[in-house]
Amino acid sequence: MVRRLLAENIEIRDLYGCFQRALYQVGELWGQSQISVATEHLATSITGSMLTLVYPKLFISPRNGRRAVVACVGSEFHEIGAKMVADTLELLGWDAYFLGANTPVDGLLALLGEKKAELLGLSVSLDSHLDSLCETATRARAAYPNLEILAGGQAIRDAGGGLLSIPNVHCLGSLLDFEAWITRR
Amino acid sequence: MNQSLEEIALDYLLQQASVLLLVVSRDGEILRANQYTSKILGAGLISKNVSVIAVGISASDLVGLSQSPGRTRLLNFSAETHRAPTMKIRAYELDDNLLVLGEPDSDDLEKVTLQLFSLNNEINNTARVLHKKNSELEQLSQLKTQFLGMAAHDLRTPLNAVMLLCDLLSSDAETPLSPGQNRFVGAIGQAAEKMRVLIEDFLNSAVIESGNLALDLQPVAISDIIERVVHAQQHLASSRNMTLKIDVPSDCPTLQADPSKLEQVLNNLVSNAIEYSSANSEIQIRCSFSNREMTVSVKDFGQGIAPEDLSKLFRPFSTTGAKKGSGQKSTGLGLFLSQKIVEAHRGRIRVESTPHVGSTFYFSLPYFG
Repeated sequence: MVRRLLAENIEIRDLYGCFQRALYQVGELWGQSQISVATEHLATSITGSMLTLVYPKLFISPRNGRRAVVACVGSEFHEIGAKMVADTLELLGWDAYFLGANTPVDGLLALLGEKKAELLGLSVSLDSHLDSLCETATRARAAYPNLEILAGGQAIRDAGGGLLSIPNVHCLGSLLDFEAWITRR
Repeated sequence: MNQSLEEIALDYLLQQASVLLLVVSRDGEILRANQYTSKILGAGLISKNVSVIAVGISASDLVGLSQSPGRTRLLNFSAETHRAPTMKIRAYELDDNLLVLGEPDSDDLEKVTLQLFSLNNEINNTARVLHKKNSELEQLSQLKTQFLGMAAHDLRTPLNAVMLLCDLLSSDAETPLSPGQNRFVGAIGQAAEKMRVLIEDFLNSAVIESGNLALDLQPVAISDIIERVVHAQQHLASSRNMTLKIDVPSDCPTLQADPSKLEQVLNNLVSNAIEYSSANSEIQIRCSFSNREMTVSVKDFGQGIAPEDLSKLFRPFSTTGAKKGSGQKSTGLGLFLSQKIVEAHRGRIRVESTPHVGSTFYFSLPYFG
């Protein structure tokens, strides 16, 4: 179905909107113990594989010379959302360096410097990882005072999205909010 | 002894159940195994000692396990069979024997699921990186092509002025040059001509790489093209005391092709043959046709091409270990351009070569008689 939609030139942001809603639903089902961890992982893996179908259309936008690093915090394994944020940045002409799950903070800070990134996107799906988010953001701000830091993911959405207040961090509740925010920069 | 219906049903269920089920004698001999067990641990278990099913299990372990009902023990079968993960086993006394039941350890299954999940993520992330790199390389290649095209175009105009002024200097009857000056002007003209050929190659390469190669298709007699090329290359061949031999059937069919582009291909093949051949040798230019395909070959008797160089011959800017007779360096564009032109005609180009014996280049084009 995804192949067909891509062949019909569906807007990638619309496709990602579908993926996002489906994954939130899967997360809620898991939270209500209606599906197992294995099923939730299977759904996530399938979505991850769907994203690879988009790549041939993703990296062809003219570059705007701006750079971002996108990562998951702590021991967060749920990286699809972060990947969709990195992909959205690519569509908008940014060079987005996506770091997978379980990124060590030291490595993340080193990459921010190496790539001279002006934006750091952090993804957090589980409430239990919000502390890691605060710690990562604090260290990133200390190392790079002018860096824009934003956070998103299911934990941010559940906590109120843009209403959530974390020092040094812009919190965004959805991919649409993120796109609206980034196009204003 | 006849089995009761209950016994038959029980036996069936045990055979079909997705649990490991073994009946083992107290001294460790495997007496029965259900289908799932055979699938997990392999066939041929009956009569073997229970120690074959996993490292570190013995008959006395099972007897000990059977004496504490409900106690389980984890066994890792995968090291032995490469098929099953860790299993949680229990043992029960069954008449004079032991009944051993096993089920996959759920913690272990979760670990495997997580590993697969991480692996899949890693594969997807690698695919993302590769697509991004590929896109960057494509953009760089386009930039290179644009740069090449612009640079070559801008070089051509002043070079034409140099060539024209050389002609004017050497042909000016009112103020004739001294013999020494004439020699210098001739050398400038020759160098400028070589540069012109190089620039034309760069421009052609830029056009081809940008996908804008346009063919001016018209009826073409291949014999005319061969004659023109031989005439053009005769001077170079004579300077090395070489003979250009033509063999073209008189009933050669007419091709639908771009004559100037075909001439460019053949010029390149013949000049290469002259440059890379031994002095005093012969170059054979042949044409043959069959099955609606015409093949032109250029054969030389020279240094040949090393087998490891054959695969890179048609790549742009690639050079081989072969040395030109003139000592000039190759740009590595001639065969690349020839291949692209032939392919644009829906044809193909290939080479056969033996080191220290010689090479034959063939290009074949379809024709519609």
